[in-house]
Amino acid sequence: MRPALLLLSLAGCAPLAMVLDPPLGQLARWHDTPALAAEQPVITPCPDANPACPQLHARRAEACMAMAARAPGAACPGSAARPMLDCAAQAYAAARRTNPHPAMAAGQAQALICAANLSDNTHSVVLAREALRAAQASLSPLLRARAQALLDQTQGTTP
Amino acid sequence: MLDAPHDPSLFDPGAITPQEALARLTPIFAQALAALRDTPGFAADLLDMALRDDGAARIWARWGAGHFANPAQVEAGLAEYRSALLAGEAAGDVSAETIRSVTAGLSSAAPALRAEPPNAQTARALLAPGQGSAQQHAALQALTLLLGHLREARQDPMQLLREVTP
Repeated sequence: MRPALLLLSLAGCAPLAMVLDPPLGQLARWHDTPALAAEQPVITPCPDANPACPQLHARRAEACMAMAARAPGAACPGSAARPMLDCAAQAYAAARRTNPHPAMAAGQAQALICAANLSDNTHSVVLAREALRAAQASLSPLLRARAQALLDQTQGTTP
Repeated sequence: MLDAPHDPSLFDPGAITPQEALARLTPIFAQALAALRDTPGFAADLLDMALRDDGAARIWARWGAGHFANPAQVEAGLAEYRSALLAGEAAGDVSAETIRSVTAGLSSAAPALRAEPPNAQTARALLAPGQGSAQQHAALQALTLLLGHLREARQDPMQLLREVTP
């Protein structure tokens, strides 16, 4: 049935695809209007077995990460970008359930490192540990070093 | 749409982390913003504002009242702080190994490009706030920015030098 749904969505029948396969309908809308990915949460339920869902999570993660605007040269944005960092970290985690690409892990590590920098010490330790796990899967020595430095610092200051 | 594989984007990790920004805090900001230092997000917010063109106006609007005497103090603090951030970047870029390899490469270049082996300590001292003449400062800052640009553009300076060498 999926090829028929795909044809419907490509033929401009996104509303019908939305009813028959909501994740595919959302993917069709985001395909037409990419800016929506940062504005709309991924539709629920969105089972990993549905081929549209991993793409939705990945697109949502990258859209939120791009919206967390940084100053030139800065590794992290300011606190105004906190909601976008949380959005990116959650969406990357969902995307990584089915997508083992190191870039997904790198994005999650970056989002978590930056979120940890905006958190109090207690939450920062939790986020830094999670960032280190993602950084290890990212194959990026720089992100690993940053996550480890953050963890060392937060563990050193948490009572 | 489903058959087209999603090609994940790799985001630039950036050069300066909030932790580095906090470690390089300079006297004016360190004194004026001492009460905010342990606030969650302080370092990230300061770095974000300091690296933007309108950083002084942003810092004055955010923390001006109660922390700084006037906008001129913010301007002075920001100039001092940006120099320290730049010096930190330069210390990472101008490693002893880089200097050795550049010097070795230049030894076979045209005479006009050959120079006395540069001294890393001297270069760093000149980049530090308050050291060297304004002209030396400007020249080194321009060189540092150029090196940073080449690094971001993944261009090899030695390759470029070879192209301009007769």
